[in-house]
Amino acid sequence: MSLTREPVQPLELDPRLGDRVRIEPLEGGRQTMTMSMGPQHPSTHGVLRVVLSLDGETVVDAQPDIGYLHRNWEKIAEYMTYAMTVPFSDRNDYLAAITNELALVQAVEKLTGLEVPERAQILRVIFSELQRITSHLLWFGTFGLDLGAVTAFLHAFTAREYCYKLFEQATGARFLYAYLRIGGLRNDVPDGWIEDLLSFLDQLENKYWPEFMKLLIENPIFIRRTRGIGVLKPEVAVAYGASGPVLRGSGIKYDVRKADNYLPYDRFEFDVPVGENGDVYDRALVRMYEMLESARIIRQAVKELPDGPVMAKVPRAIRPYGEVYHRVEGPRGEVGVYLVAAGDTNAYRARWRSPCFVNLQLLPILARGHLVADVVAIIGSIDIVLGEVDR
Amino acid sequence: MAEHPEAAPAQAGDGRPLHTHQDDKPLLEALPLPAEGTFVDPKAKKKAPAGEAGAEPGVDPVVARLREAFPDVSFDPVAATADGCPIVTVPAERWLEVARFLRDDPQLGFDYLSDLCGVDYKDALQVVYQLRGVGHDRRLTVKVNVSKEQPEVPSVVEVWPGAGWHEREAFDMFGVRFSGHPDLRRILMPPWTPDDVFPLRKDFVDRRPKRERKVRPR
Repeated sequence: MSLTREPVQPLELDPRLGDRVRIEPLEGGRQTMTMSMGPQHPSTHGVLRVVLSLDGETVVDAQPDIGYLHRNWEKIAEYMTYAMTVPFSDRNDYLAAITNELALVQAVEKLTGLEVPERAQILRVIFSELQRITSHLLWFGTFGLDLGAVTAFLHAFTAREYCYKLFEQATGARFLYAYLRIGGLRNDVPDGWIEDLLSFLDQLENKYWPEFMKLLIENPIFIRRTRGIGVLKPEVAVAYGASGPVLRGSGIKYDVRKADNYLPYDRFEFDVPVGENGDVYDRALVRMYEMLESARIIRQAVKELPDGPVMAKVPRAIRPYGEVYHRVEGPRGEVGVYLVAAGDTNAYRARWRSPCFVNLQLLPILARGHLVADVVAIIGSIDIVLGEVDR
Repeated sequence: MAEHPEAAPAQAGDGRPLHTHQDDKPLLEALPLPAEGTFVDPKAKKKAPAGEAGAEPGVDPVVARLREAFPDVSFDPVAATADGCPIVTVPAERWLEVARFLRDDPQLGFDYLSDLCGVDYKDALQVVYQLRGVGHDRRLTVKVNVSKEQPEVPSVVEVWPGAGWHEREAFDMFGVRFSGHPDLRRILMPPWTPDDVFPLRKDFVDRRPKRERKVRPR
């Protein structure tokens, strides 16, 4: 293997491929081959291009090339009032719209000092956790698909459809809800919705989840494809600012829900699942157990759900001063919003800290030395949404 | 910039470049750098002159520790965010030294760079760092101001490697040059973007022809 060798100067550059592609000589007169994976590759979960430098089938370097979905959320948000920004923030991570809205809405609430009614707070907990389950179900399905397990995909989407029905009943939309408002929620949940939710949780815990474990996670082929692949050491994960299941898969017990307590999470008992080895398999296990923990939080939250309004009295024009960096734990990790407010109805600067953007940075480290087919598994285990990477 | 098949200069109908930082009146107005460190409501200040004496940001233990370790560095203006996170301002030439201390000092231990972004002001470009730690709940926001003529900030990639892509994005969007960055090039904008175009600056003008839209009169 020539992987431990010092990098050498590039021999020749193909101008059409840009300046990041290197064709390097290897031992025995061979050269690395450069291959473009994506941007339209089913395993890249959107328009991600990975420039792979290969020695045979072994990855020497994997450089992500992003920006295909870039629409500059941050610039557009400067032209819009705070309330107008909320539906647009859904489009960043379109698989976890509620946590996106939550980050933005709570940042504005911190700036203006708004008090949110308790019922709205608890409902926000329920919706964020339901969103986490939905997002992880989608991850489970597509991750199986990446590794060639089509059955798992079909089963996961059945369960996910159940989730989206619940979202549709409460918010009127399946994906992009615009449900959270600055100061509360748009509307209360309909009658009988809580019962539907609990029956879904019953099915998830007793039927779907054990089925998923047997179908994919405990499958010997799956274990062989994922154990020891893409190992992320804990100190590397922290240094690179990884968050969410990628960080916790490496054994770091760090969760913004516990660290910042942005919603009344301290009233509920739940564990933060962590991995041991930091490989693809551990990240998969962390996501699987997070689904159960989310279900556990929802069950406790439903019991504590008080009556009352779901919307606070909000001034007609919000013109705050100051600045705030607010972060929440999305399904993919730490979603941060940094707002600079200068007394206008629009933010002077709105910044979106995307967990996928930071986690994707680790791809060259994770993929080096593995096979091309493992890169597919590693990308799946980071669980990226390109809408949020590019914003 | 590599020669790209789509690198032909984009022009509007009158032959001027599509994206520019000059001529047309920008829609957004750049504000001068706030002297207090952050924008403060002028009315609220008059109303409560000494109401929140306990919330004096200068007494924050993190800021006190920094002042003790770097007596020759002025961290002013010191302020606080809306949720009480202290803000310090560090001169660019001392920033790398302070950053190493922030990470390695056992009393501070900011080993987690949560976010890094640029902000455009009328008279300066600002880089804002959000620092957290994995084992504790201390928080710190660091601001580094640089002039628009010489937007040079030392790169903190060696301190927090995760800053790599954030710095590339700040370079891409604001033109802040991070000295010592191993791979400083555009990340989100296409590679054939002209070298002097930075879309998140306030004076950036998009001169692409507007799409015809029928708007109902109110």
